[in-house]
Amino acid sequence: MRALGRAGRWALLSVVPALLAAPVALWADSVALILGGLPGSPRHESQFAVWTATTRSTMVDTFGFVEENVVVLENRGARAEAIRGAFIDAASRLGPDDTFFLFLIGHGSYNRGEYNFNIAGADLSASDFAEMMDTIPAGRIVIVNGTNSSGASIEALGAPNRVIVTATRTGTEQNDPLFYEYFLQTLGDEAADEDRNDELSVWEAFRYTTLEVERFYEEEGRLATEHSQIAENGAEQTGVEPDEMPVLARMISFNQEAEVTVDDPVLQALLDEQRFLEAEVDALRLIEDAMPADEFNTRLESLLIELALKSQEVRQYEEQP
Amino acid sequence: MRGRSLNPGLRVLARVTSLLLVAGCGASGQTDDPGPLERAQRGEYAAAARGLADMVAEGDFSPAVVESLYHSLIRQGQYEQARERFEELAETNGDSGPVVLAAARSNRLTGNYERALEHVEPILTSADVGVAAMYEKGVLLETVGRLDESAAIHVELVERFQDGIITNTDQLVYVARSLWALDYIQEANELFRFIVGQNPRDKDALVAWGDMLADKYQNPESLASYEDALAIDPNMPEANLGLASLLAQENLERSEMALEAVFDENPNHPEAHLLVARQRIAAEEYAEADEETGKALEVNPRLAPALALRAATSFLRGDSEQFESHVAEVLETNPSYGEMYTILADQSVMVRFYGQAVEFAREAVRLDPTDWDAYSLLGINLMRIGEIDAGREALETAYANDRYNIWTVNTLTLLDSFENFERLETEHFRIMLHQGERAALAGYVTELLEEAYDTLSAKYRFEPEGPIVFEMFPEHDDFAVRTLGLPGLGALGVSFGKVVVMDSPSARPPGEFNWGGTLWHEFAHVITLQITDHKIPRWFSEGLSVFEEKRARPGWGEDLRPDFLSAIREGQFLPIADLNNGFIRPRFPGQVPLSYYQASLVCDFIEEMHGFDSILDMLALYKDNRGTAEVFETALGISLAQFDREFNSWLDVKTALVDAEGFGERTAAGHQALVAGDLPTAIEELSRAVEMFPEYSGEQNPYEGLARAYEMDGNTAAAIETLEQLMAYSEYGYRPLLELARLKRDAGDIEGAAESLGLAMYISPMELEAHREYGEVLLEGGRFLEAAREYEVLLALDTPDVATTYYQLASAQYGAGQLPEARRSILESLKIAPSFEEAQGLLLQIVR
Repeated sequence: MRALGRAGRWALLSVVPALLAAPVALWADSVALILGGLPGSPRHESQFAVWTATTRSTMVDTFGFVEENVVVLENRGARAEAIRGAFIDAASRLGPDDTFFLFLIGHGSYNRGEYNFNIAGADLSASDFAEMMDTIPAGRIVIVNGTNSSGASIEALGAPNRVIVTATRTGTEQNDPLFYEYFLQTLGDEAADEDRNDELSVWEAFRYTTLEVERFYEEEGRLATEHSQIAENGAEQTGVEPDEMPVLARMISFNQEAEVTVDDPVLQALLDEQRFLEAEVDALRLIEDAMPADEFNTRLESLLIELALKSQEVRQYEEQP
Repeated sequence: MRGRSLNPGLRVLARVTSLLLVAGCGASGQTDDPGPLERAQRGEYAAAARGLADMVAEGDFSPAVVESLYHSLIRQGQYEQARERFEELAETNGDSGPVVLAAARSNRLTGNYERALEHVEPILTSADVGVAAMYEKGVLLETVGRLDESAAIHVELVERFQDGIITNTDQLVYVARSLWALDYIQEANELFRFIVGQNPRDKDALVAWGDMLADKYQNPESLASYEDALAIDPNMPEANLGLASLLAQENLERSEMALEAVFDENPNHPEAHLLVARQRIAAEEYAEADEETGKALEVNPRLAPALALRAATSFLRGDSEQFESHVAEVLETNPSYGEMYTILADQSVMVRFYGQAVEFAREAVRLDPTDWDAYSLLGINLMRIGEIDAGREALETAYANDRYNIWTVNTLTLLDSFENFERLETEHFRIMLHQGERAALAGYVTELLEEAYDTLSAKYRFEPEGPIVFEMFPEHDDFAVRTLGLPGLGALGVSFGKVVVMDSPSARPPGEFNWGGTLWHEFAHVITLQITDHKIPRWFSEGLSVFEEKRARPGWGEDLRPDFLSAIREGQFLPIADLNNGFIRPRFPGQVPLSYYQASLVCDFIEEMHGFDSILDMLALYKDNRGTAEVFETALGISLAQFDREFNSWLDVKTALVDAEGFGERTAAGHQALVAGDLPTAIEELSRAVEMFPEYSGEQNPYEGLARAYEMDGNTAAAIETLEQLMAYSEYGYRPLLELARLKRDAGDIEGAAESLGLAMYISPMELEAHREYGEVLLEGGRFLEAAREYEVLLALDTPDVATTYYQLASAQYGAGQLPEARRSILESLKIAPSFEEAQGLLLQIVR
C-alpha cells in the first residue's frame, strides 16, 4: 500500500468522522427475512425450527425489530414463489435509509460452481437470490448464510452496500456447519459487543462467532470442516483477520433502537459531543495503517482522554440532582 | 562398508530379470518318507545328523549332504563337535570342497579364525562351493578387521553375478548377502525376492532376508520372512532368534517364547545368549549379563560382540581396568571393530549414560568412518545432551549415506520442525516451547521450573550442572522421536540429565495429563541422575521422582488405585533386586505404572523409617559404584531380603483397612440416593465410601457426589472440605478444582480459590474461562503481577473479549505499579471499545 501524504491523511481523518457521524439510520426501519430450508431429517427439522424461531425472537426481543418487519418462511412454506413474494413485500416497505437482513437457515448444495439453497420444490440459486436482492431498495443489505457450502454464494451475492456472512469458505465445505448455532449464541452474548457501545455490529457478531467455532474445533481436537467468511461491498471475502478492516460491517448494527434524544439541551449537547468524539476515534482507527505509529498513538490517546472526560462530564451532569 | 567402487543398481536388477526369464521352478518338493536331507530341512536335526553322518561316512560328500550335516550339528549347539568332525574329515578328504568349507565355517564359529582362513583359501575356485567359500572368506576377513579385503571379495562376488558367471540359484544367496554387506539394499532385496520366489523353501535365504530387513528397520517384512522360515522349519534357531530380537520391545511374551525355542534346540547359541545379556544390562543386572556372555564365549572365546558386552558391564560397574582389558582383547582380533563402541554406546544409553554414549559413538565412527548407524547414534545422543547443532551434523552425515535408518530420518524431520519453536532463558534453564503455546505457557513453565530447581537443589544439597535444556512438544510423536527416534512412546516426559523433554498440555486430551507434575518429576530426575553421575538404578530414580511429585503439590504423583491394591494383595510387587524389570520388561499389562507406584512407596518407607538423609546417603553410595545390596546394607543397615520383608509388612498395615468391595457398594448406593434427592443417605453412604478407600480419586469417586450433596444441603464448608480431600489425591481433577475454586470464592476465601485455580492450570492451561476466573480472583486478592500474567495468557489464547481483557490487564498492571504498561493496555482496550465506561475511568486514573 502506498502511504498517504500528511495532507491526504488529515483530509481522510476529517471526512471519515463525518461519514460515521452521519446517520446509519439507526432509527430507520429494518426488515428481516428469515428462511428455513427443507430439513431432510427429523433431527434437522427440529434444529432448523429452533434456529428459525430463535432468530426471529432475537431480532424482535433483543434487537428491537418491529414484529411485522420480521418475516419467517420455513420448511414446506419456504417455496420459491413464497420467497419471491416475501422479497416483493420487503421491497415495498424499505427505502434508501433502511437495512434489509436475510437469514438463510438449512442445507445448501454446490454443483458445477453454483450454490443452491435447498427448499421445497425447485431450489433457489445464489444468482436467483442476487436477482431478488437487486429489487430491494434498502440502503444496506446484510445476508447471513448459515448453510453448508455457503461460501459459494458470496461471489454471486456480492454488491455495493451489501455485507455477506457465510458459514463456510467454499462450496466444498459440505459438512453440517456449527456456525449458525454459535451465531445465535453470539447474538445473545454481551461479551460479543467488542467496542462496548451496547450495539452489536455485523462485524462483531461475525468475529465472535468465528472465534468460538474455531475454539470448539481446537478444544475437541477435531479438524475444522468449516471456515466462516465475511465480504462487503462486493470485495473479496475474508476471515477474522482481514487485511483491511471492514467498514460497512462495523457500521451496521443489528440493534434497531431509535436514537436517544433528551429534552435537556445541555445534556443533548454533551451527548452529541461525546458521540462525535467516539466517531473521531473510529475514524482514526480506520487510518491507523496509514499513519506513523507514534503519531497515531499520541492522537489516539489524546482523543480517548478527551472522550473519557466527556463521558465523565455526561455522568456527572446526569447524576446531579 | 564399501571398499571398492561398484555400481550394481541397474545391472543387478537386469540380471534378476534375465534369471526370471530362464528360471524354472526350483522349489524342491516334500516327500512322504523323509530322508535325512528332508529331516534337516524340517528341523529334525538329531535324526537328520545321524542319517547324514552315515551318508558322509559312506563317502557322500555332495554339498547338500555335507552342508545339511554341518547345519544339523550347529543348530543343535554342537559347535566343538562339528569343528572336530569336519577337521578330521578335511584331513582325510582335503579335496572335498564341501567338507573343507564346513571345517572353515565351524572353525569361524568357534573363534579359530586363522585356521578357518587356511581352509577357505584352497577351495575358492571349487566348482561346487567356490562361491560359498568366497563369501565365507569375506566374512572371516571382516571378523578379523581386514575390511578392505573383505569388501573386495563382496564386490567380486557381485561382479561375477553381473557378468553371468554366477547363475546357480543356490549360490545367489551369497551374492545377495554381499550386496547387503556393500549396502546395496534395494538390489539385495530384489535378489532375495527372486531367490525365495524360485525356492520358497529356502529357509536360509528367508532368514538372511529377514535379518537384512530387520537391520534396515523394515520390521513387518522382516517378521514375515522369519515366519515363512519357521513355517518350513519350526525349530530353526536363527529364525527364532530373529523373531525374538524383533519382538523384544513390542511383544515380550512371543519374543520370550521364540527365545525359549532357540535354547530348546541349541542351548549354546551365542547370539541368543548375547540377546539375553543385553536385556540383563538394561535391567542393570551386570553379573547375570556376564553369565550370559560367558556362555557365548564358551563357544567362541574371541566373539567380538560378547567381549564388547563384557567391556560394557565392566564400564558400567566402573571397573576401568577390566574394561580396558576387554577392549584390548576385541581390538587384538579385530582392530577395525567399530561396532564394539556402538554396542558400548547402546548399552550406555540403556542405563542413561548419554554423555558416555556420545564418546563411544565418536570412537565407533573413528574406527569405522563408514558406520552410518554409529553416526546416527552419535547424532541422537548429542541431542540428548543438548548439543543440537553437532547432533544435526552427525545425523546429516548418517542420512547422506543411509536413508533407511528410521531413527535418523525421524530425528532430522523433527529437527526441521524446530523452526516452529521459540526459545527463552531463565536463570537455570534454556527453554523451547512451540510458538503456538509460548505465550500461554511460558509464564507457568518458567516459574515452575525455577521453583523445582530451588526446592530440589536445596533439599538434595546439590546444584545440577546447567544450563538445563527443557523442551515441550505439542505433538506426542514429536516428543517420542526426540526421546527415542521413533513414535509411539508411552511416557509423558523424559530426562536425559541435562536435557528434559516432555509432552506439552496440547499433546494430551484435556484432563488426562498433569503437565506440572510431569515437569516436576522430570526435573527430579535431573537431580538424581546428576548427583549420582547417572549411576542411580532406574527404580530408585523413578521412585524418587514420584516421591518428589507427591511433595510438590497436593494430588500430584501416583496414589493407590484399585488395580494397584489387587496387585499388592496378589503379591505382584517385586523384590527390590528385581524392581528394574518392572519398568523395562513388564510381565503383565499395568506393571509399569505399578512399578512406579511401588518404587515411590519404597522411597516413602525409607524416609519414614530411616529419614531423608538416608536417601542422600544411598545416592552418594550409588555414585561410588556400589551395588544395590551394598547400598542398602551401608545406608540403611539392612539386607535386601530383610528390607523386602519389612516393606511388605509396612505395606500390609498401610492397605489393611482399604475395603475396595464395600467401597464400590457404598459409592453406588450414595450416588443413587443423590439422584433420588435423598441427601442424608447420600451423605452417609458416600462418607463411608470415602473412609473405606480414601485414595480413590478416579471416575465415579465418592468425593464429588458427597460435595454436591453437602452443597445441596447448604453445608458449603463440608463441601469445600470434601473437595479439598479429593484434591489431596487427584492429579487430573480439573472440574473438581474449578468447582472448589467457585465454592471458596463464594465463601470469601479468595486465596484458597486462587490456589485451586492455580492447580487447575497444571492440568488444562488452555481454557479461557478458567484463566478469566483465575485473573479475577488474583486481582481481588491483590496479586497483581500474577493477575496480569493471566490476562496476558487470555490475550495469547485469542480471547474474543479483547477489550475487557485489556482493561483487566491494565487494572492488574496499575495495581502492580506498572504505570507505562497499564497505560498501553488501557489504550488498547479503549481503541477497541472507546465507550467502555470502566476503561475510561481507569484511563483517567492512570493519566492523572
